[in-house]
Amino acid sequence: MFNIDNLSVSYSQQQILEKINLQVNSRDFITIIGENGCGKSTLLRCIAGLHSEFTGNIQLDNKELGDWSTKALAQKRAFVAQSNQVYFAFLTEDVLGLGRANRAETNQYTTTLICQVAEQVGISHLFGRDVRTLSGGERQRVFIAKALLQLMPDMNDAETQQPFNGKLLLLDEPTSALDFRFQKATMDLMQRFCEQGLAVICVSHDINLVLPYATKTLLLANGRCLAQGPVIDVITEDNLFKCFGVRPRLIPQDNAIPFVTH
Amino acid sequence: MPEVNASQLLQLDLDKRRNKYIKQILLALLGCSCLILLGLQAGSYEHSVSELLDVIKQKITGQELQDQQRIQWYIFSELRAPRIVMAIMVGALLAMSGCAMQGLVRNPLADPGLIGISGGAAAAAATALLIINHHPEYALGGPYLIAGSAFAGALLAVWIVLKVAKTPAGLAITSLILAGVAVNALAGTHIGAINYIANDDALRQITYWTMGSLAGISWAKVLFVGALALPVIAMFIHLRQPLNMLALGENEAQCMGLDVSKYKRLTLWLVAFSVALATALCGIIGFVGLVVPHICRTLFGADHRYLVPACGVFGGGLMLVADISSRSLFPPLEIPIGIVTSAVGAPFFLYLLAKQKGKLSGV
Repeated sequence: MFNIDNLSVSYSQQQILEKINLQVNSRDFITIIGENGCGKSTLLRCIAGLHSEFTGNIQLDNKELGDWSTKALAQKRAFVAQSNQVYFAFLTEDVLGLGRANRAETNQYTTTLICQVAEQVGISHLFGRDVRTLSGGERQRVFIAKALLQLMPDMNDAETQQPFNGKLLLLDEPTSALDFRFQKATMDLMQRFCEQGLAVICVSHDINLVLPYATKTLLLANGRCLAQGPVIDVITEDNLFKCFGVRPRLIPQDNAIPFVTH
Repeated sequence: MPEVNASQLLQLDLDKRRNKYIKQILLALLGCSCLILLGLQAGSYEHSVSELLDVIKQKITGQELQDQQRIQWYIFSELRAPRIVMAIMVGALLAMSGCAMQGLVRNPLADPGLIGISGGAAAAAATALLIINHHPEYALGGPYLIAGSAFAGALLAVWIVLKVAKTPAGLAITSLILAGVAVNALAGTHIGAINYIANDDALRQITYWTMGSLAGISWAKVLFVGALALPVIAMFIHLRQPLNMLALGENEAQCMGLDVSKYKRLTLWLVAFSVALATALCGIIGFVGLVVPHICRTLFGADHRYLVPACGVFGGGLMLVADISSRSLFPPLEIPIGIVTSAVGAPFFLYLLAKQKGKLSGV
């Protein structure tokens, strides 16, 4: 569904991304790994349609990203940013409701969806709370829930078995503020949604947390793609050394995904 | 199923909140009606509601009015009724503009004057007043010339600010505010220079104009403003959900499907137009756009779906209170309404600043 072809970005003569190619299909769970400032977030922003100053092509369902209307695009992809600021005293349910703001549907349907997703993300107990008073991790979960709500199907398609087919969720460090329990819970949840057709692209520094879920890994260094493909092919000592400049130790595990440590 | 119960509970909660807010807005409307009645009575010439009703009844049934009643009818129909309607419209416009402005720049301390609107209007109006003073032959068209110049000056100021703040990626809010500061300073210098060369008479007029006033409001002006204000108010109400989305940040709003640059431009021009209109006809009336959204936020929360209409009602109400005070505090003297709103608004603003000291970093 998403086809990224020869994507390059430069800011004032500095090359941020260079000739990135990436194919995203339904049910993919793609992790992007790389050092600080290597262009991971810029890549996510380009795919999200937030950054349009690039060369190359980004196509969604064979149509250039720039040709999609903002509204139509919002139902195809959602984005959870690294930091989520709320400037006024919105309640949790207000923020979640905004995920459905552009839909023509009954209040009853919206509320049902909100409760369903809040239950799954584990934030039902935060209803009625001012979002600004939530902890960083709680707020991050609220924004993940809002992004999921944005991708939930219309009322007419409510009964479909694959509600997330052809939809993409972009996560920029989704677990950075989450505690031990919710790191895993959130990843498990993403995997469940992937089984329902969702594609996920996740930027993370927590290599060991995300690798077991990834169907594909992209290693970025200085804006270039060092390697991409299945985890076991990409996550090698040499590749990680080229990427981070320090030699890691890979400890073999039962599930064939190596545990990466210093 | 537990979800169904939870969603019913949440729906119940949301409905309860909506009903509460609607009730509050209706109550505020009722309060406004009482203020209108009070406004019709108050002033240097006081008459009771029953006297007024008698006069209106006699007028409708075509009976001859006595001398006393003729004065009452004149004061009601030509002086007080138009200025009350104008006060409500101007208050609603200013308060909704303030609310939209604060939502747009995501800072509860923002004021429409921030982007140079009032400064531009005042500079242009002062120029017009000076010209009229030096060329008495223009005096007949004076009020129109002043209002027209103020309107044009306000829009010119906003245009300059928008031009400076424009980047390839859209409007940069920080540049917008800084450019507004610069334009305001420039307007201040211009007014200063005019004050320096103006004679005593012109100086007095300029000072009076910048203090804002609802005196001399005619039905023609009311109809003119009404015809323009109603569509603008409707547009503000249309903006309530986009403002909610913008409150989470521009990237977030864009991702949720809002055409951010389009709505930013639309909001700014609506604010500019409303404040320019209000300022052109009534002079500078400060702090309504700042204070009313705050009062409403404490009553209605942050959700612009309720906040924007509530600001309209409370803004109208506050202007009525200010108008009544300006007419009845020191009769027969009428205090310029801008002084009343600033006298109440400025201390309140200081109070807000003191209270929100720690939260100002998010500009």
